[in-house]
Amino acid sequence: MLPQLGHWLVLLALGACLLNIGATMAAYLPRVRSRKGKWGHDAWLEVAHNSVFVVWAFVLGASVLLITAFLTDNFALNYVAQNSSRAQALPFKISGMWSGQSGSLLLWTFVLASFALVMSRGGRKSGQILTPAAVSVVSATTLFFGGLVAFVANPFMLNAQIPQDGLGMNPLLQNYWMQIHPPTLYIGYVGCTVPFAFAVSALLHRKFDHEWVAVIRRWVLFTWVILTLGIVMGGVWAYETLGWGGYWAWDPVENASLMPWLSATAFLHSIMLQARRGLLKNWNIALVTLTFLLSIFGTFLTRSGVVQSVHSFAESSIGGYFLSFLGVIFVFSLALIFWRRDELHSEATVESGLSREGAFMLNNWLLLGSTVAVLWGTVYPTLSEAIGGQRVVVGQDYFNNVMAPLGLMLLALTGAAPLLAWRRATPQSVWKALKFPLLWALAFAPLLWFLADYRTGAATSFVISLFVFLAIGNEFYRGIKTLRAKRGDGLFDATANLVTFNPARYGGYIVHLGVATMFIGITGSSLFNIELEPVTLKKGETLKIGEYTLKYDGLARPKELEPHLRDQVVAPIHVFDQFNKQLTVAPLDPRIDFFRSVNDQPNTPPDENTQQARRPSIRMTPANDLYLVMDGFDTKDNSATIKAYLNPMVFWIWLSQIFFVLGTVIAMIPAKRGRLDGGTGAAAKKTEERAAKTGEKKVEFVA
Amino acid sequence: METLFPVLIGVAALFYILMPLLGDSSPFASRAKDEQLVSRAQIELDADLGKIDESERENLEAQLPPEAPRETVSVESLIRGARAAKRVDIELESEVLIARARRRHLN
Repeated sequence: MLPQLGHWLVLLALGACLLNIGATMAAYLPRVRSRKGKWGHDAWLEVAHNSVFVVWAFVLGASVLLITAFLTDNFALNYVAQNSSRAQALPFKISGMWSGQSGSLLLWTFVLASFALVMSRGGRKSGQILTPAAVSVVSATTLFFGGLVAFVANPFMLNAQIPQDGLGMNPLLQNYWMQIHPPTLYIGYVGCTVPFAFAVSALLHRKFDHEWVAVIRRWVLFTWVILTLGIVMGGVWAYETLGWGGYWAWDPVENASLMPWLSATAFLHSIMLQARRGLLKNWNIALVTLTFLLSIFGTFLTRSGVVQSVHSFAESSIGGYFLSFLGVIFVFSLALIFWRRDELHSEATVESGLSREGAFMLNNWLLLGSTVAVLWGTVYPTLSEAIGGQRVVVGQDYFNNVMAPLGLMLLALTGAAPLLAWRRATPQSVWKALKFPLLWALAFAPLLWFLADYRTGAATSFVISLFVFLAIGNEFYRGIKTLRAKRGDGLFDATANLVTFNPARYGGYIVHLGVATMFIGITGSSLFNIELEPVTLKKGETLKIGEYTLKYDGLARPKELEPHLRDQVVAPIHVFDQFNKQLTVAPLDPRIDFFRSVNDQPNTPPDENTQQARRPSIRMTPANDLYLVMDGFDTKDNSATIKAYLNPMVFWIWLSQIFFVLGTVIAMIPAKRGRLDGGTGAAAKKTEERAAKTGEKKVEFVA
Repeated sequence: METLFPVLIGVAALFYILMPLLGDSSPFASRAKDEQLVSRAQIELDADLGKIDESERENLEAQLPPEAPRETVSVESLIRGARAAKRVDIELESEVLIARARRRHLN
């Protein structure tokens, strides 16, 4: 009964989506548009609003039913039998919902429906004109994803024969990151739909004013930070779990998540030009559309099986549907932009390349160039196979060689652009602004070159990162100094006022600090990492890597195993520094996990057919990560084969996320209104005294 | 039975969705909302930091919504003003009354 109800709820949700689209269209019919009261414009919008809640409630119901099926081991459902088992731990039974194709599509549909609900409620409360049509676009997308769940990849499909136990979730997915990484990334991906929906609504309404800019910027910021966290979480998961010593491999599916992130980053900068000067209206619409298209393209890559990746779902016919949807969106968006081309002219022009506008334009071209480079490297193997019949593999070298210079130029811009004046700057004013951070960064260049082991590439990255820190630090210093002089604020008040008067700018600056921190981590970990060949150690033998000495303590097995494990073999390793001081209280424990399967015989040791995974053990410090992996073991002589890595500065990559989140949250806060000289300190009193002497009346403005 | 329950839920949902068409009043009121992106404080700070020149400052300030200047007056001065006005009124009124009485007396 319950499974069928789940499928019914999805079908009912599709009906409610259609009602939402229909009611919104009805509200804007010429005859209805001006009608008040019964069957009038507002009544139809209210119908559309109600249907959004119904869609959300039905998809929520279906999701709850699917999770309940996992929790109750209802193997009558084929999807549950494929992705869960009786021995599976509770958290993995819950995350089982999104561990396969159809369940993850249902989660996607639920996130879309939730966004539509938030949009509709928010828009209704604040009376945004753009919201109803935007919600309809999200509903149309929900219709597509919900349609896939209902008719193509139905998670409520029943087994002909109910098995005693399920096959269990893929062992590699049985990790705590599985609880949080996929949902976070889905929220980020799905979030790309909302700005696109508002862009379509703006095109339909011919409304590209401040309301559009404000609402779309807020949504893109939210999507951007969630996507950032989702991507980084994927990196942490790969680093902690997969045991190859790295966090980013330019895997096609990793690239698929990076591409919308790059275009969304470009948009966050170019939208400021529209907000400030009315520039780049058509460009902004195009960027938002591109971000949405790339998010759907990424989904197509992951779910169609056209690329070879550790992330891919099994090859299926679902790719064709995504490709068709992608085509429809592309043609629809292009037609809409062409239709409204006359409304999309900029209100001004970029007067000088040497200006804030010029820097933003350069930033956009670099980010777009990076997107194209990543896209080309990602699709080339598939294209070469389709055209020439032979799959040409694009290695990591291509991505590193192309992205490193582009990345360094972007990094330099994160420091230089905030120093430039709007509209036009003179070489003198640019030099005045750049002088302090540039000269100090160059003064430290020889030292950084020496610390970077005379490697020019690494030293360049460190010098530019230092320049960014100095430039942004100086911007904060100058702002605080001005506020203290003008308002008489104390240091804390001046800092708080500086940020709250212009949270978009100073939040952005904090994110820029995060970018520089991340570059330090990426440079250190990719250029200075040490990777030893696997070494077989017997009990008591040692191994040296960098400043560390590793002492192997013989094989061990835990007393109690997690339910999904059949066996676990641990190689305890003590770590000593160059002065022979033991650094770890408990030894590091690289291990090999042997997973249970449905065909296991009780009390039999694992054999060569048992699925296994090498789990690394990491000792993390700000300077470097000691990363140990057990490649193999021999119980006869109690030996273990250990592969050791020393990855410098990875810590800084994870640390940068604090800047990203903090900066984005600040950037989303509405700016404080009022005048600068509204302080209560000594300077404000002086202003009052001066006004009293000159007979000038103090005037307050209602802002 | 398996289809009856979804049908019932569907009918209830449809009724809920279409309810606004059956009544007269509707709380949905879409209206234009002007959201300013650049504040006066930001413009002043940018001018002080040399991020915009004078012409750009004027250009941006022109985009700000018109603001009604409001003199800051204390409650005491308001009361004083009201009392003074009242005094003037009484004085005028008494003058008128005196003038009328005189005219009556002369007549």
